[in-house]
Amino acid sequence: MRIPVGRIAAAGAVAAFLSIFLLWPLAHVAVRAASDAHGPTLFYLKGVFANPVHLEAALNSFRIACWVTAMCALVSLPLAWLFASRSFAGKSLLAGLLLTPMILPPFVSAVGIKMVLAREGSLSILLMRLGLADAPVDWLGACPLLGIVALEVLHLFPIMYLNLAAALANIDPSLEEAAANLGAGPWSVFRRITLPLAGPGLFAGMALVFVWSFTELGTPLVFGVRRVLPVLIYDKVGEVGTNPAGYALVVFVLAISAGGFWTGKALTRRSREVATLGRMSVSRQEKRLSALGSIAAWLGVGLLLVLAIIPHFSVIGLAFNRKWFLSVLPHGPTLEFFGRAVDNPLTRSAMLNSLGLSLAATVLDMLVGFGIAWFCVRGRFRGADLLDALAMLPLAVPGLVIAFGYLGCFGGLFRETPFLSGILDPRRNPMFLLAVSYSIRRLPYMVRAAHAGLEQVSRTYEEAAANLGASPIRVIRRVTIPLLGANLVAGGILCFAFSMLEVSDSLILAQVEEHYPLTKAIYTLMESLENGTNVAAALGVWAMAFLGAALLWAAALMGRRMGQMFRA
Amino acid sequence: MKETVASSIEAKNLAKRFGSVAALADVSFDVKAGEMFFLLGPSGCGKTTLLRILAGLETADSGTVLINGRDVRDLPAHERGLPMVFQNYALWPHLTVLENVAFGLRERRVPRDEAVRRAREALEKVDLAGREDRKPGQLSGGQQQRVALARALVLNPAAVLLDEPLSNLDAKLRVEMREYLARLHASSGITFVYVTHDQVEALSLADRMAVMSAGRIMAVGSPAALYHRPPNAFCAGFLGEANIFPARAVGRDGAWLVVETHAGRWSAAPAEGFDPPSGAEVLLMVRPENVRPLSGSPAGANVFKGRVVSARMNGSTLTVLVATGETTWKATVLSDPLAEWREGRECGWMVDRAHAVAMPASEKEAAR
Repeated sequence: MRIPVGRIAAAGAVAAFLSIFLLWPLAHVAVRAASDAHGPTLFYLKGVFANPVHLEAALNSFRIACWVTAMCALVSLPLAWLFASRSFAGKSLLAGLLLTPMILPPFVSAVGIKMVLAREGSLSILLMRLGLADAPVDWLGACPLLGIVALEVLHLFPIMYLNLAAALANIDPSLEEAAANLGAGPWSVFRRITLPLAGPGLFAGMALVFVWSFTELGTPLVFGVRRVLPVLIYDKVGEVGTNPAGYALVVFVLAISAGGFWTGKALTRRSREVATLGRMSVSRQEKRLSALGSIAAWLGVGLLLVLAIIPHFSVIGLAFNRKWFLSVLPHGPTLEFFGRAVDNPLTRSAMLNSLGLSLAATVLDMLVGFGIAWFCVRGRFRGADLLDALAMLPLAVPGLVIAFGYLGCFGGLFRETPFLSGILDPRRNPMFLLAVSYSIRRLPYMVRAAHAGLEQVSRTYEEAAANLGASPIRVIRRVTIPLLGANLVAGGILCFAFSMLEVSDSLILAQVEEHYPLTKAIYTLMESLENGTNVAAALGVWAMAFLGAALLWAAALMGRRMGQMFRA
Repeated sequence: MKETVASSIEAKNLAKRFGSVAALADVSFDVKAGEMFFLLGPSGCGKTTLLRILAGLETADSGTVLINGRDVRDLPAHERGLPMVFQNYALWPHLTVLENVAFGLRERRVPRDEAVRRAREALEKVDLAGREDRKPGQLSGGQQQRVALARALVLNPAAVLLDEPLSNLDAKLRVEMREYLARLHASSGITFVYVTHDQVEALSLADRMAVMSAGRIMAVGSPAALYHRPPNAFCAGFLGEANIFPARAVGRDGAWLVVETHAGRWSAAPAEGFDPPSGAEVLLMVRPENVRPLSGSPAGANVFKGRVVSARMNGSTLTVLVATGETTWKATVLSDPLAEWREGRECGWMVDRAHAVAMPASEKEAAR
């Protein structure tokens, strides 16, 4: 038996990459949380529960996550059912529009929505003009968590929707027909057959949304809500080297998000045997809605879309107008802020930084992601599943945790070799680690995209190439990669787009202006200069246009398989 | 262009398990250079696995493969030089027909111009000139099949492997392609190893063939030898219709074996290498077309008297079921408007001793 040296080397490189940049930081965080200068101690972990501020923050974060998850499920379920089983005029247009909320990170939306919900904001003024309120209402002050929940629901429901739609599309229609045949009405069929069978998709989507909303840093920061766990941790970044308390908080966050994630996964596993029962014997027939039904569908989905797009419009309003004060709509149209968004040395370097970082992260993801998927689907060796599980880990691990871990692991490393520390020490130059953290964060999507592609490409094509004399590496280059090109490109586009808008690692790792990526520049602008908010919004519009185009392109390439990329 | 030389291929004690299922158990055979060799067996018998092991696409748990006497156990698929025609053709959908055919040449570092020229020639030979720039999906099943053939043959290989190459074609096309493959084999002079479950395909095309069942080779030989003197009941039944019933060996009469049957003492031809002791249980096999009606009354050895149970018209022949005692015989007789095979007719039948084959009674002995 010839030893497949190249294969082992490639698998080793992937394993090393994941170990150094994912497992080590996690282990480091855990160890530092449970020890100090005097040795191992549980003092700091217990301290998390002793401090009432921490407890309040934990409760707030947990509340936000639960509300966001529940609301997303409520919104997505009817939506996914409608799009999976009914057809009506303009359906594909609406389906495409449903992805638009994803093109704007919620912390940028927050900048705009503050103008709508603030004490002298659009909503209060509108209500007063209509005579529905006597005095301006401070919506955000009255219920600060509400704004966060609303923005995150509007941003995250597409992810849950995509998961559910994919799950529904996989249900053999004959299973539902059998129920109807035995006397179950439409509602009964949905409740007793469809919903249980779609369980895996639902739980997977809920798990993703839970982790995402539990650890969202940008939105509370913009709303000025300090009493949530991610913000508390962000405030502790300065004392990374000295105070284990920050680590203890990070471990706490990690435990809850991983717990939430694996609860979802466990529920998925339990219902999987049901979902895979039987092969598709009939292709899914979409029932045509009546004229009235179509109108109702348009109204319902339209209302949701209008709500979801208000933040986008508010950001656009801010970006293009000089004044938005004591009025329903902004006024004083101008292109000044757009010019400033491009002229400003900070924004210019931030854009270049983000482009370069995202590009590097995407290339890294494509290499590692394709490698892992290939090892799992084609590699046929033990440990491939372990690699896959590792690659999925970032779904359960907040970016916050990884960034914190990097600061701890690589900060002050290689002090004696300036060359190495210049690359690896985030305090000297965070660029390398930023690219790595972006790629680690988006790796699961890339692996899923490549995985789905590989499973669709018959292995015989590769065997035929080997049979005609192509070496394994040539087979991958000439047959495998061209055949799943669309999946790889779509996965790459998503990696790139989401890397451009990565918030928590950018905020934590980049400490000097010249290293700021786009998101940190937007955040800094909001707090600083005169009219900074407007310039930040202008930058946000750039990002929005960019991400929107990227998503459309990816969706065109992936077609109906788009949902598979957001699988947990 | 270099002169093509045919390869000999030898399988030695190949074994392969998938989990708890033994796909192949101690399989050995040799294919002579230039032969059209068939691996024939029902689906799931391991014949495709065997072909994939020859191609290096699967590794055997034990045993080895020799090509021209050279052990290729450690040679990966892409270095074996045994192009294969896949059952589903495996034409790459992202490449044109021409690119598909030129693929192997390019992998062998044939310059682009020459590769294109040779690929065009190969496509011409399979009657597909003018389709070079199509994508495989735009061709019919038969055309795809010929592209797959051209893709393998363009390399001037010393041997090709064919995995059920005709199974996806309709009946008429299958017969045409059979003729085509026979001519192709004759004109190329190279070795063909051909997997099929269709015994007609194997009987009509093979120089020699191996009959497989449940991961074992049940027999190797020429179609005529295996059809007329199968070594065991499985081969007898798989290659065609057969009357098989138990008998007891009682002695020898020169080259012939004397057996006691339900119709008295018969002379039979023993299967090759079969020499049962006196008193041993054996099976007697007679092909229906070798059961002949007697005009007079039955007398002597290898005859029996029976009553017609049914007669079914096939066209040029009739299948007549004849009951004698507990046993029912199947006889195939030529259609004859003057002969009347009504139910209940009593009549004598005979079997030439060269057509009565005695074979081992137990499967274990049969597999040897």
